[in-house]
Amino acid sequence: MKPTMRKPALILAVTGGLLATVAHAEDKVSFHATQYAENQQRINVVMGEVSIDKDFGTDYTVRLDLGHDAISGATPMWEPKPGFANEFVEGQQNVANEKRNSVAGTLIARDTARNEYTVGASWSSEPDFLSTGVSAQAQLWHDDAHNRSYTVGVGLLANTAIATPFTNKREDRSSTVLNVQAGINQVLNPTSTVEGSVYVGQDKGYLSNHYLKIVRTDAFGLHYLADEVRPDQRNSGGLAARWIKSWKPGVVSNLWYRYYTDDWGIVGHTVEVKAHWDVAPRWRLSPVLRMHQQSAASFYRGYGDAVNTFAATGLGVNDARLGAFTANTTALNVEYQSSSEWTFNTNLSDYRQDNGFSARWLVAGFTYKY
Amino acid sequence: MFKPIALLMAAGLLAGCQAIQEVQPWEKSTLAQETMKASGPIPALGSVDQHVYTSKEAVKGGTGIGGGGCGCN
Repeated sequence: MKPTMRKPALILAVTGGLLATVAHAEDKVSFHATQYAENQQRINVVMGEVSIDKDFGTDYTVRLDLGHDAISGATPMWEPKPGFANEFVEGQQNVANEKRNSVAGTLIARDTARNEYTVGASWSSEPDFLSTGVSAQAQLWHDDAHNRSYTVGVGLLANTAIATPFTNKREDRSSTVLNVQAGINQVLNPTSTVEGSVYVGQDKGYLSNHYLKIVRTDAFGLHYLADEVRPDQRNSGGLAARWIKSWKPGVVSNLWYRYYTDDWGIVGHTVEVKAHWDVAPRWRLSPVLRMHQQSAASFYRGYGDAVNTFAATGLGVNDARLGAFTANTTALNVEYQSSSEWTFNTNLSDYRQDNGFSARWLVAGFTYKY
Repeated sequence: MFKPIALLMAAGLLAGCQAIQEVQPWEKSTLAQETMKASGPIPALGSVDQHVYTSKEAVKGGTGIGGGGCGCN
């Protein structure tokens, strides 16, 4: 810390305070409800989320998120082939109407140089799964003008797959997820910023889906159902980059790319192009295009593959989420600011994988600034 | 499809980084707008999207670096 405040820093403090008034000083409460539906009468989810942001002076901000989901529908599962012994076909199993509740809290503290230190905690609970997490992050400014910052963060989740009469295991199974990421954010000019980050993660413990089965073949060539088996560790990492540009007042683009790889054999590329367009004094449109491509885990075989069964021992999954596919999302958000306090928005997203899976979700809600 | 986009983006980033300007605090009114934040003006939309993507895709991570360039807080 410098013993005296030099002029640029003083100007920054004063101007930064004014900008904060313009952009961030409002405390706010938001509520958003989501209706999510998949094709082929699969999963339906109704979600509600409340977020509260509260500043305490200029040095502290508290954020609280409360969420509730209600899940219903059916999910793909092997079932006996009618009229055939030891043969199985892809079917669907109903998902019990499940409720999930979640809470997440974040505290941001700022020092005199306006470096930010964030600590967070999260908890979510559903009948067959419990997750608790903690995180910490620091954003450190490189220069007095605040044109470059470095960010480093770490997060740790402890998960429990809770045994029920319908799960593969009769006792609870636990796992941990560790994430570490570091990034740099650079102001390029008065209308654009760029951000780059590297991230690594390690999942450890029981990482299998505790509902899913696979078909194995015994020494006599007979098929039988068995629990799916994934490795008990997954090491992952990747790179991400973001470029945000204001082309003219009221027209902003946000371009994001992510590269991912892990030791299960999955490599992924994700690109998202977002725009914000103030089409009228109180109206804003935000279209989104997202493209995602991933390769399959080395121990994955799809339900429809020519060979979709596994040997009597070893790893094996049929879960399409670990398969190779390309997915495209198109979305449009419409925002209406009725006053300086109230903003209403509605967003429709359409998601399609090239393996036939698709989903749509509609989000509607409001933000109240005070 | 992704390789050309990634290369284009990398080229754009390199070009942009070569043209870094020293931006003064009083020139940051545009950077301070909520649309210039990574999470956009309505962060809840991003959290819903992430909720869907992490439940339907095997890829995760790379979305957690916060901060913005403007240093307005």
